[in-house]
Amino acid sequence: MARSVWKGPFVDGYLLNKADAARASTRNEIIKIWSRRSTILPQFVGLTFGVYNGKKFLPVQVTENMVGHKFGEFSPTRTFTGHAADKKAKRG
Amino acid sequence: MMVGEIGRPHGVRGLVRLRAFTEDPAAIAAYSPLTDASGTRRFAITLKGGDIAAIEGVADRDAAQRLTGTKLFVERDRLPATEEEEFYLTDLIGLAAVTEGGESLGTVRAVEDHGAGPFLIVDGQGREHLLPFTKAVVPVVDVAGGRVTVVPPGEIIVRPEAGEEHAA
Repeated sequence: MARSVWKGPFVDGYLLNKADAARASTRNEIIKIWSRRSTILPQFVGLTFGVYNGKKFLPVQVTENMVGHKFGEFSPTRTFTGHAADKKAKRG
Repeated sequence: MMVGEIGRPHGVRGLVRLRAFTEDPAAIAAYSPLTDASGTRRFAITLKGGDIAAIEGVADRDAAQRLTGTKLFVERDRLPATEEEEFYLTDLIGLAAVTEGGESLGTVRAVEDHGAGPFLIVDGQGREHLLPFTKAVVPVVDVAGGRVTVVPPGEIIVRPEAGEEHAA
């Protein structure tokens, strides 16, 4: 069995407590975190995190298909600003 | 709105490399004819595979060379209609962001999406606000009125603490 399987996903423990607290709250909140290395767990689905990229906290709305990825994957540390052109944004 | 730029010539028959800024690079040809920044010149473009394009009326390399660096524009009303809850970034950028109480937060400078949902970047009062583009945070988008109503979300700050880092 691969080490990653028996050892389980890595997540900074303190995130779990805060995620539970945010889930219990009915307010609209962003959980600001520095832990880019933590794996996204199923219990984070539906929450919005602000993931630090070294400069600011980028909003990350966790959805089911992000489970198993790391938070840092959704908060790039390098800037690329393209043109708006015909690009669209869907309100979630 | 700008949708592309003419690059360097390709070959000797007037073909050019085209830099498309559209979501689907091949879609730029669908907006043809395009115009330059002043709107006076029109360019009928046909894609020849990859980023190579032919421009109507451009038959040799010298003519193609003269167009290098020309920005290509399309009128906003030629874009197809969006689906429900879908907005063109160009419509959102520049809108005033105000709270439900009427307090101004600033202006939408950009809309970004890094794979975890779009968010608005609002500049104002010397501060930058990053707001998830959701119904809860941005309940009203009034493009015609030039404003979005926002409900700034609360913040829970989770600082890493020594000794608390462990795999769960």
